[in-house]
Amino acid sequence: MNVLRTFLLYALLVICSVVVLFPIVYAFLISFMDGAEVLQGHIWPQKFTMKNYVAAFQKVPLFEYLFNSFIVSFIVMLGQLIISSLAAFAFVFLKFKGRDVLFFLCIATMLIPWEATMIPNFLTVQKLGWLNSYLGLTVPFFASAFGIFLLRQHFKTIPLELYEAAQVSGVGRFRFFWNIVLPLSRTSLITLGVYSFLTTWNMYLWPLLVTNNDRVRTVQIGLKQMQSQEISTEWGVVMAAVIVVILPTLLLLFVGQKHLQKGLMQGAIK
Amino acid sequence: MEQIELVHVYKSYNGKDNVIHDLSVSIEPGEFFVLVGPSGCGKSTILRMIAGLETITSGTLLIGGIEVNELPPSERNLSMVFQNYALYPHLTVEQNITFGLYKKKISKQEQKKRCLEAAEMLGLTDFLKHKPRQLSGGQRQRVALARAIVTHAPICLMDEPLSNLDAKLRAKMRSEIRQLQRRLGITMIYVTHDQVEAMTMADRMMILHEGRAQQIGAPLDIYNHPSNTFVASFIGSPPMNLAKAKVLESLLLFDNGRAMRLHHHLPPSTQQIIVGVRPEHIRLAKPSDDHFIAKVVNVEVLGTETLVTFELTKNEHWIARWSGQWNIHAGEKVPLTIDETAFLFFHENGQRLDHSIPSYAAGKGEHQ
Amino acid sequence: MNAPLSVKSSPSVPVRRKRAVWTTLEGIVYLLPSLILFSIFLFYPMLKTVYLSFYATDHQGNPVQFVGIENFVYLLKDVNFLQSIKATLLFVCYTVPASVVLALCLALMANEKLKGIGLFRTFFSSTMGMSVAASSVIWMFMYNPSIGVINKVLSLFGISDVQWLLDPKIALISVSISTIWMNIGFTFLILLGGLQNIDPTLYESARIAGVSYWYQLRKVTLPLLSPTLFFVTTVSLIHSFQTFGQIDILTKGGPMDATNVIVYSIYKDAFINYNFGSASAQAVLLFFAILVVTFLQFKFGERKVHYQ
Repeated sequence: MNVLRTFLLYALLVICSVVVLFPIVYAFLISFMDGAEVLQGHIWPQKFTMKNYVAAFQKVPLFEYLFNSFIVSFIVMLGQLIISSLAAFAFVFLKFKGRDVLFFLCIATMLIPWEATMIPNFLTVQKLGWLNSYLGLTVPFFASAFGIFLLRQHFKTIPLELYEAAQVSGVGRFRFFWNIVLPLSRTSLITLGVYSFLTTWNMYLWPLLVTNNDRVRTVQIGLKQMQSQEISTEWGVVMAAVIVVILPTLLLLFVGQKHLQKGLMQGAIK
Repeated sequence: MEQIELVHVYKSYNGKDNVIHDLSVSIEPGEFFVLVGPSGCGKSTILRMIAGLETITSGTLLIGGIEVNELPPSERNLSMVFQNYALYPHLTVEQNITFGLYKKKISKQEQKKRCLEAAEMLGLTDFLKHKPRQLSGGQRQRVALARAIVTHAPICLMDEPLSNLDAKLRAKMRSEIRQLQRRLGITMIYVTHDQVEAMTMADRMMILHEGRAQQIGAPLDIYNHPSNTFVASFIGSPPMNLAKAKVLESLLLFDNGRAMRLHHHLPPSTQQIIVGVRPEHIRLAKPSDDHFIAKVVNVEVLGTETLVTFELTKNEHWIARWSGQWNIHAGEKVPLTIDETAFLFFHENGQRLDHSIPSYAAGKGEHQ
Repeated sequence: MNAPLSVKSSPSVPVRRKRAVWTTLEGIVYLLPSLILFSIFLFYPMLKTVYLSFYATDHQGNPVQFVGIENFVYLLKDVNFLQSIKATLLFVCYTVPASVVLALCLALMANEKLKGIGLFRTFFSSTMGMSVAASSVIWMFMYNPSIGVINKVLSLFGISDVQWLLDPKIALISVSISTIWMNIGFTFLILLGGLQNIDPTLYESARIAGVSYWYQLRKVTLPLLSPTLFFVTTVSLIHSFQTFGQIDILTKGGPMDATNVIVYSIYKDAFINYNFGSASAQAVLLFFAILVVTFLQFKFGERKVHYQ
């Protein structure tokens, strides 16, 4: 009975894995086929060729796109970490009048769908002259209610006595923040970092709006560009680009999965 | 070394109800002063007000004769040990000990020296590079102590520092802390809910109940002369036996008809009073003694002493404490006698009636 | 007890107030970056969106003429917009329940204690690392009527030439299927976290009581998981209202507006037709829709939810 159950479970798990992973594996396989084979509709390449990868980097500035995406994601990650942790620190360790009102204001931002604000945001960024610049791609995403919540949740688990002990021994607030709170919250900071990197890397609509040249264009927009130009002829090249684009985030996800799972729960539910 | 004085101190969180009510006390330099009371009595609040972690609603706090109500904690020149030790889990023992020193503009060398000194004193020398989680409860406690010592602050505050340790270790740390305080000559204010800790450690102590000071004094004075029934039952284990009684000439009449005849020391009035006797003053009667017969309800033989619970009245049980091991069983009826000078009398409202102050404390102290 | 000294016993109020002011200032400094950014990129544009929705605008997005609720009235009479609402609602109905239920099944399986279960967890969460653009491109190819794998497989069963993305009747379903796939990683990860948060001793006591798997699922697991399910449903709902990328890549809102969901419609109105007023009005409606969904969820969802 137990053996049977285990066997059935494994069978189910395998089937589900196949279904879930199929599109990724499929793209991976296509990326090694030459054009003729793709058009024949094969699933398994008869001969693995790296030509598509070479072509992907030659025909479009894929490397530049990757670089841009990396820079943008990294800056947003850094910005969110700094700005969210400062705010979360104030919400947990500083008691002052009006704090709760400000906190409520932060909650309220979660109710505003970002898409509902994109028109004025676009106009703002345009006026600031930030179109086609890293600034326009990053700065609007520095403040994150999610990040503030996530870190606040974690900061609250730091015993208040640590703060009081610091006060008694005359340790300044910023020093306490920097030397105690941040190191103790490493896991949450990693979670937020991974999360913000992932979401920025995968961002689509905003970069589509504020970039229109290759100098700052991110890789997601590059993909769209490729797909609409290369359609029907060179799917192998497109798929090679897809694999290149998803590789960093998949790796990041596999490494940070545990953190992410715990962190997302914390930031969301409590 | 500095004197700490609280003058008519009140504390209220909501502006209406006082958590601390009109507290005045003066703590002498070099004194080991214990704040003791049941949980929720406000003892930690007082400590935190002295530390500056809580504001003082009204009244004055003086340290060394200077009003410090508005000084931030760091400028009060004191150290504090927390119940859960408040060690920084990601720093080594050494970093923990020296963490607060940077602000005091102390050279790296001096920091190192002080750290080693304190570590030596507390037997932590081998653990300086360890993280707190690698240490046992007792060692963590010592790190917290070391952190307090290195500041060289003349005042040290401790908030239930031993409550996370097991009984054996607690007894050991009790004497260690006491010795340390004597050696360094610092003023110690120590909060605990454990009356044994208070009794064994304090030079003087304050008993608190519901935000009010019940009594301040040396442990034995308080033990022998509790100022009210709360103090009487809080200090001492097992607690003082108390029972309501009426006074009729030289008779003490208890609720269910039991009467005891006393020769002296009766309060003059005939009103309802409360009678108190420490368990160690109830003896097995010799044939010549005035005695009363009581039914034994429970016997606990503890090795060095025996606790005998007996029926004073139908619904009132008292405990007697006899040294040695006694072969008595529940259900037996035994003759008991009470040295009448041992009786304490309290007003119905709990305050002790003044006249009953026999001087047995000097002679009979088996509790020493 | 007498006071040992007679000292003036009123706290020096000015000092205290000064300290409070300091703390407030310090707090504001820590919060300032967030507050400024929220103001510039969230609160201001939200208000501006509302403002613009009452105006007719020129091509640069400048308000030209106050038109009151004209934009809204026009929208509600506009066949295209009504179609867009219909598409959005259908899309939500297709994707949210399916995503949550499928992810729940995966999470239940992946929560079993088996050898190598970590690998399966990684597999199931993998779509979370996939960008919308990359996923859409892959699905676009899979949906390709002549060389895509789906039609190849179907042709084995004698079904041929399904126009997945070009047939107005099927396009929305096709987009939904790919969206469900994209959602599963995130939803799975959250639900698995919820399952792992359930106290294992509860399962042990259920095992000692000898209850069946399904009984345990109904009486122990699901009730305890309900806060997580609740959260994940809300988030999925909001996410699906905000869908854009897959539409832009797979169908561009077509065919015949069958997949013209609201955000895509806003995008088209604003950035292709330069009709900022109408687009803003739609954005306002989107905002309210999400607001209402959130409140409804909290009002009705909460009753059925067991919180620890």
